[in-house]
Amino acid sequence: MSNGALRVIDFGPVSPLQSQTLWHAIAHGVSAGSPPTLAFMQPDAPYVSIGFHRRLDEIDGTYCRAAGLPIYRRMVGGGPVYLDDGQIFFQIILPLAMAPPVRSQAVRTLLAPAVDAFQAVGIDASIEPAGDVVVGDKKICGHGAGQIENAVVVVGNLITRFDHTAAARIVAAPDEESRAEFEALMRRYVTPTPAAATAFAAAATMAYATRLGLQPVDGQLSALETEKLAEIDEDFVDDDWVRGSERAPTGVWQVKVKAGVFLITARAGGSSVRVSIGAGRILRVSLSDRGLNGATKGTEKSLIGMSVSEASATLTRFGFGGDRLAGLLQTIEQAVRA
Amino acid sequence: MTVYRGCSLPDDRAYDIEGDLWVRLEGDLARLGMTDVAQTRMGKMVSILFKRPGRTVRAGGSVATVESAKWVGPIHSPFSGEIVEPNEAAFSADILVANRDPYEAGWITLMRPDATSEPFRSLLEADAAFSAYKARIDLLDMSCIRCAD
Repeated sequence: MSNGALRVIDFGPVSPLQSQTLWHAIAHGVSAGSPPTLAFMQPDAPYVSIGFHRRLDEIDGTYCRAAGLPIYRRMVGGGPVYLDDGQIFFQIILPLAMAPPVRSQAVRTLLAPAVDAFQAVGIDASIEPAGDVVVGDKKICGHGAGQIENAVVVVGNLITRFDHTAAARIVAAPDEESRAEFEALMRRYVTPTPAAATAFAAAATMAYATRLGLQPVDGQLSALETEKLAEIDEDFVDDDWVRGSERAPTGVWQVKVKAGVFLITARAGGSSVRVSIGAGRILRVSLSDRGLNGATKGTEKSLIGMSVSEASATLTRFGFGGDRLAGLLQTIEQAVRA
Repeated sequence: MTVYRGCSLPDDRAYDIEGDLWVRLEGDLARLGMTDVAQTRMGKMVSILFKRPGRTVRAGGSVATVESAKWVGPIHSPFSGEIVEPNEAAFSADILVANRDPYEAGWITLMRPDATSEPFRSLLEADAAFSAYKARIDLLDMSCIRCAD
């Protein structure tokens, strides 16, 4: 481990835009020779962020505009998320060579000090095998990662307060039942962990410094990073950047609540299936097809606890309507596997 | 074909060791792809975005951006040149194609290298590549795995 410095920058409350652009600018700086950096910040107003590869139309843009929620595309992974001042963001930014070589291992390794910090402030956090930071089976920290030039960034948050309704409202759900189910799943699987932001930041600083073998030193942006920040501030509000590249629709509507927990809706030819999946099993399902002839509720109940492929096989026994729904479930299974 | 710690290294192409890329010259064109080490490091790909045909890329610039494990990262070209044909169709049909077959079906892009530009990193062939890659695999302390299904 290096005996060098861990630059620590606590920006405090910042604009929604700079709650994204600051750490992108730092990544460019670290890539160019700035020291490894741990940053903290808190957006001073709500907004929406979307992962680099995701389709903008996954977000209900009409609603966001009416609600005054700006949308920013980030250079790390994951889907659309609602962010506000109930969330304190942290970012660990390192030269690429300091991160473990395998991506999943790097993300886990660079989230481990955050888990130490959660524990230090009295939160019984752990990392699930799938990579989410949880208390029990509830996700408590959103995270993402990326390589920006020759720097690695892992981002996460301390969620002191979470507005499940707002988080469900910003997605472009196919219908209000799907939105309600998404909110219900988030209430079940995503929970805030109220803790003092200053105590968490102090604990995280100690944990990252210890695990990385670095000395924490309060710092600020370099001249290069300040210059880069101005550029990125402009880039991130550019319509083309926010829109992103064209991507073909997947044929299903899918949202991920946490690792292994999905809500997926598929429709074709007047039939539809909405299914909530946890740990590979159906938690809840809603079927619609004229061929079910009044057997809908019983059929839905019988599918709970099955895998999607088992449910698909079961539905084929229901004749023509069942075949249609089984086909939709096969589409859903492909989406889950991808 | 050399195999070391589960990582295959076909002998019919050159390697950018540091970038974990292979390059196969095809006339005045060069086909680029991820090595077995690269696809293992990346893990299961969930998304890829290609630079479009006709775009020029500087040495060290990105020819594609890939996402796995909530991680977004670039694939850097070892030389400057023009994008001729990204392998979009293969990845549209199977996003895991590079995880299954990084050296053939899962190639990333076809480029026309700029003959006047210096290589960003020197490419190594055959024995030199194998010994350098073995050292890198040992340094990274990793073994390669492929997607089976």
